[in-house]
Amino acid sequence: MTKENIGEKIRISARRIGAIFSSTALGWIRTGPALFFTFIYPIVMILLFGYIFGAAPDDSMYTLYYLNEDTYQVDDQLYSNNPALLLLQNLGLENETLSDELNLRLVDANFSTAILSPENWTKENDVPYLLLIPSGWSAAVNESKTNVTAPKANIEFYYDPSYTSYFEIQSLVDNVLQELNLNEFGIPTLIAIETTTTPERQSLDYIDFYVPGIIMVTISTAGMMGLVGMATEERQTGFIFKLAATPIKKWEWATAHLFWQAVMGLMVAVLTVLTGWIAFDFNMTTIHPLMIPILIFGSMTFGGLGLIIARFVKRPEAAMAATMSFVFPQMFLSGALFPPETLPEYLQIIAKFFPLYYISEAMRSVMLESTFSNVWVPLGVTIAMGIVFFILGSILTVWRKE
Amino acid sequence: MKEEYAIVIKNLVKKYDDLIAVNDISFKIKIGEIFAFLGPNGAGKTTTVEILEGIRKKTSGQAFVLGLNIDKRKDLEKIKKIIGTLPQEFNTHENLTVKENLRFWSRMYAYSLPVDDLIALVKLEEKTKAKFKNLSGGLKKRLGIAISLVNDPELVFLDEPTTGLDPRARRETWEVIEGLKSQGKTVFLTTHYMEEAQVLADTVAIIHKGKIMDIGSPTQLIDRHGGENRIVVRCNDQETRDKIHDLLFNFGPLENEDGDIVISSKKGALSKVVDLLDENEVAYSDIITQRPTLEDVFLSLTGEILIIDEKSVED
Repeated sequence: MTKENIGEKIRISARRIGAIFSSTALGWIRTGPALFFTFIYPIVMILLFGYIFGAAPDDSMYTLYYLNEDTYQVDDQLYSNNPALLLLQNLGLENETLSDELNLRLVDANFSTAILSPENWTKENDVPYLLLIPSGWSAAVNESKTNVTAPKANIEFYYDPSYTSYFEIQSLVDNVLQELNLNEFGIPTLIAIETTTTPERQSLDYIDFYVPGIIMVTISTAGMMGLVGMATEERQTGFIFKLAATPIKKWEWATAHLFWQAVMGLMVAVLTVLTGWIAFDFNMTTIHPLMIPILIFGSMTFGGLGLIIARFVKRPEAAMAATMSFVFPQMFLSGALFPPETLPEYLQIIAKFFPLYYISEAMRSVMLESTFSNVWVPLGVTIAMGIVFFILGSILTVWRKE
Repeated sequence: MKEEYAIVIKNLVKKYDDLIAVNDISFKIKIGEIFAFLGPNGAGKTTTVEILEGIRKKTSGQAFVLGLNIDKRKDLEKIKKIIGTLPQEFNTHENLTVKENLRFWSRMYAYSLPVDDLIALVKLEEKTKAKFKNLSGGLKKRLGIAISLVNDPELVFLDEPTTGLDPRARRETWEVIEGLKSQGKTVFLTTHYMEEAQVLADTVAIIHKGKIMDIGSPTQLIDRHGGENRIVVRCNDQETRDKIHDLLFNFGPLENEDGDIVISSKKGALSKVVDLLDENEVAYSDIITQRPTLEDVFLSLTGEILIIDEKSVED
C-alpha cells in the first residue's frame, strides 16, 4: 500500500466522521427538547446540590418547638438561677445572633399536656421535633447541685424519625445541655478543638467540591443514555442498515458519535462551571487543562458502555431501563456526589467497579489543587477505560440484521 | 473482461430456526437490465436483497455481485462502493433538509455525484430546503432513490420503492426508475405490484414462500403460464347476463368479480361471439379481448391470488 493510499483513506475516513458528527449536531440543535434537557440537567443539578448541601447554609434554619412547663420562679429572675430559661437562651431564644449561628429557630408550642399528650400534639400538628421542659425541672436541677443522690433532671425530646435532621437537632440540644452541666458545676473547659483548613483549599467552598462530581455525573448519564438511545433508534428506523450498505466502517461511525459526546461533555462542563460561578461564586481557579482529556476519555467510556448495552438490549424501552439501572447506582455509589467513605464497607468495594468512581476522582483531583499529585492513577485508569470501552463498543455494535 | 452478469446467485438458502425464508434459489441478472423480484410479503424478497447488500448473513449457497463474492470481506467492501440501496423502510436524518441529507450520504463515498444533479433527477428542486420529516411518502421515496444514486452506482437495489404511494406518485417513481435504465444502470427491484413488474422489468422472477417459481421476461412468463387470451363481454343487468350465459354456453363462460362474462379466446372465437350476440339482439355494453397478466401467471404458478397488504411489508 502506498503512502498516497493511506493519506486518501485518512481523508475519506475524516470526511465520513465529519458527516456523521455534523449531521448529529445539526439534528440535535434543531430538536428543541433535546437541546433544552441537555442543558437544563446540569443547571438543575448544580442549583439543587448547591442550595441543599452547601452554598446557602444560612437559609437552612431548623425549627424546634418547645414547651416550657417549668413554673420555677426566683426573686431576681436571673437566667443563671433559672435552668429552664438558661437552656432556652443557650438554644437561641431571644438571641438572634446565637440563633443564626446554630441555624435553629425556637417556637413556643403553647399547648397543655393536661389536654393533649406531646406525642399526639406533634402528630396532629405535623411537627417533627418538640423539646419539653417538664414541670419542676429547674427545681430538680437545683436540687441535684447540692444532693448527688437526687434523681437526674431530664428534659424530653420528641421527634419524627422520618426526618433525617433529627439527629443534628438532638446533638445540638445535647451539646448545650453538656455545656450547662459543666457550667453548673463550675468545671472549666480544659480541652477544645482547633481547626485548620487543608493547605491550598482555604479558598474553597462546598460548591467547589460538587462541581467536578456534577460534571461527571451529567456526562456519564448523557453519554450512556445518548448512545443507547441513538443506537437503538437507528436500528429501529433501519437507518443503521442503510448506513451498513455504504462503505463506512463501524469505527468511523463510533468515533463520530463519541467525538460528539465529548463535545457535549465540554459544553456541559462549561455550563456547570458557569452556573456554579454565577449562582454560588464557584472558584474559577480550579479550572485546569487536564480536565479536557478527562472529559474526552470519560465520554468515550460512557459512550462505549452505551454501545455495549445497546448491543445486547435491542428494544429502546428496555435499553433505556437497563441504562438507568446502571446510571443510578453509579451516581450514588461512585463518590461523584457523596463521599464513598460514608458508605458501608461492601458498598465501598462495589463502588470501585463503577467507571465513574475513577473518572470523578480524576476530575476532583485535577480541579482541587491540593490533591493534584493524586491525579495520575485515576487519570490513567480513565484513559485506559476510554480506549477499552470505545473499542469494545465499536466491535460489539452489530450492523447486520440478525 | 467486462462482467456479463450483475448478479449471480447459486443455491442461496436463508434459515431462521425452523423457518426457511430463502429456499435454495439460483438465478442471474444481466448488466443493464431492470430485474423485478415479484412476490407477496414474506416471500423472501427483502431477505435475498439484504444478503446481497451484505447486511444479512446467508445460511448457505453462493452469491456474486458484479463479479465480487459476498463471502469475501474485501469483496464486500468493494461491493458497498459500487452499489446503491433503497431499503424497504427508508429513513434518514429527519431534522435535516433534502439537500443536507443528500450531502450527508454523499460523504459516505470517496466519489459522489453533484447533489444538485441528483435533486434534478428525482425532481425535488422545489423541496431542497424541506426537512425529511415534513416530506410526503412519495417525496421521501424519491429522496431515497436519489440517495441510492449518490455514488453513481453500477447496480441499484430498490426494495419496494412504491409501496404505500398513491397511483400518481407511483407512476412518477416508475419514470425515475426507467431513467436509471437509460443511464445503463442495473436495477434490482423488489415489488409485490404485478403492474409495476410488468411495466418496468426486463426480467421477472416470481418468488413464493422462499422458492423461485419461474423466471423470464414478462412476455415469456405470460406465454408460459398465463393461459390464452380472453374475451370479456360486459353488460349492465342480470337478465342480459343470463342470456349471454345461455348463448355462449358452448364456450364455457365464467363470470369475473365485476360481473363480466369471460370466455377463452381461441382462434376466430371473437367474430363468432359478436355474430351470435348480434343475431340474438343482446344489449351488451362492451366486448373486448384481454391478454393474460402477471397476475394470471402468479395464480397459475402458486394457486394463490397475490393479496397486497400495505401495512405489512417486512419480509
